[in-house]
Amino acid sequence: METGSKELSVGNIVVVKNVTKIYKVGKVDTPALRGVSLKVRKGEFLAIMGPSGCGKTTLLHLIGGLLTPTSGRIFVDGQDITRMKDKERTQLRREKIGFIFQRYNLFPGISVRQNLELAKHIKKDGRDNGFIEEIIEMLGLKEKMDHKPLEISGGEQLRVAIARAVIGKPSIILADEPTGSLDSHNSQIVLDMLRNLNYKFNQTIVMITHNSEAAAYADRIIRMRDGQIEKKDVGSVFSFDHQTLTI
Amino acid sequence: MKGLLWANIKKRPTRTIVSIFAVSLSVIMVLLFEGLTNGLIKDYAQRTKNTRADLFFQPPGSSLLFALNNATMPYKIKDKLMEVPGIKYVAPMIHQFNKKNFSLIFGIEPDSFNKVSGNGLIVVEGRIFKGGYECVVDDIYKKSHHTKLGDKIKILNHYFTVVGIFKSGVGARILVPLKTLQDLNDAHNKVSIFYIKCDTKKDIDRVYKYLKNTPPFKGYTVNKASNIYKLMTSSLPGLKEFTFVLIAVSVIISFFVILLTMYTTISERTREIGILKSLGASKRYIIFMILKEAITLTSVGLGLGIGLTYSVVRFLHKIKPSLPIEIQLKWIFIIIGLALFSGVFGSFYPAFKAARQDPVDALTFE
Repeated sequence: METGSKELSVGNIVVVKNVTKIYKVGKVDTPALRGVSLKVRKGEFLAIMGPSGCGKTTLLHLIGGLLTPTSGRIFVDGQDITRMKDKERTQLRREKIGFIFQRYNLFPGISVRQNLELAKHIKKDGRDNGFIEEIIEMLGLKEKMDHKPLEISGGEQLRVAIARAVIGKPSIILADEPTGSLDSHNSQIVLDMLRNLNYKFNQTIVMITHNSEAAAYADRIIRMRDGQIEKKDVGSVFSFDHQTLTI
Repeated sequence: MKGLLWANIKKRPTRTIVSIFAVSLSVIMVLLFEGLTNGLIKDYAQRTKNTRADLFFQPPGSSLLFALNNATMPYKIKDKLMEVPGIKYVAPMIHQFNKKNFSLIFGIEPDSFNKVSGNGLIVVEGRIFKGGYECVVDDIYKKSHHTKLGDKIKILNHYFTVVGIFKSGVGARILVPLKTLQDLNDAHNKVSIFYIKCDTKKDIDRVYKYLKNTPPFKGYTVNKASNIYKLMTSSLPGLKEFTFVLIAVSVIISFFVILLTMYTTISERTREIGILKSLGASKRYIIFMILKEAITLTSVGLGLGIGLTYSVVRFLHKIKPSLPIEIQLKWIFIIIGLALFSGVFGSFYPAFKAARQDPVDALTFE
């Protein structure tokens, strides 16, 4: 383990070291990531931009432990997840990761409340409901709790997906094009909420987006192309110093 | 968790209903068969026991339940039996199976039958037959067939006049003169069984051993009345095998119904399983989720099956009061165990398949 190494000890919650990912499609090897290295600091709001097929989602899934890299190492909160067994990666997802998908991925047959309770049940979150109530209030979902996902708007569904992702107070929220299906007005509302969550609960957010306006909400933007990081540390309208942050 | 379970069950109502009905049909099939065979055997055993005979003497190789064959024993054995120390009375009889209404008819001599049974044949209406084509029926037969005195009953292609109604619980539901039944079977002076009453209870074992081992009785079939239920169940050829096959078919039906239901369910819900995995649901969590769903379907099917079985039994008792069906509690527990077993095992493969799904593949499933 390299948990004691310098880069892991300076507040980096995610460290990706020279990671490659090759998909095998029949007998053909299709490289999705070619030696990606990346560090994300604790409490940082990072946006990853790049054209379709550049490997953004693969990188997100690797950080979230849904995939394993072909080579390279990934550390999440000091733990080398590339050496973890499936069971341990599941536990990591349960305790430290929250996913937000572009298609929301809510369970359509159950109410908003039940969707959130299910996540709480899986995450074995035995905390009192105060935090959940706060999130529900903050995301403006109080009136929608007994509705089924298909009975509410796309923006509201995304807010439910955000609530579900943050419900177990994960260290990292991984958002895959969260505003991809929303109009600009709703996108702005949701991004404000994400920014607010990041600020208020100091949760690290890694967000994939095609939209530069959305990316502008992040502390830092990286661009990817052809499975590699093209450009790092593009500045944002926000400072990472949360002490002086204003939204 | 519960919300998701019910939402999934309600998602495809037709499939859910078909699965539940398939499980309940298996339950009904087993319970009704067991209830019917058990009821018939027990009822026959009880009525035979109520004759108060201590021993049954039959031709070699006979079974008690299937003493329903042609009379082959000479009537005069009765006299030889009466000479055996310890035997008080002997009642020669013919047990006849009436194919027409699937019932038993006893050809008896009222005098010897009453001696063995201690006047157990109680005529509540009319009189006992005197001979010829006269018969008496019990009160249950009267109720279920709306029979009244003077009615004609067709037995072995001959019409018998009902001259009396006797209190049910002793022997067959229809009693006819032994002599008439001998004539109809072309078995003059022949009988199919002797009911034996011993002097005292202590004599039963001694007489039993004597008849088993002493010529000229050696080789004949002798059974004790105290073993009658066991004898009847064991003497019914193929009953155990048939019951086993029936249960196996029922379990296999339930197994495949649940397997198919859960397999199609998880195929449809691949994406949902991916979401659960992204939320951090363990393999065990997903396996239990599928098992819970299968157990819920099986339990509802079981409940419905047991309920419907009792409804069918009530209905059958209403339209045919003489049909003895007895659902034993033991079989309720057996069928609950078997159905849950088939439900759990039927859902194992789909559950493990779901748990093994790659989360990314599952999330991108359309």
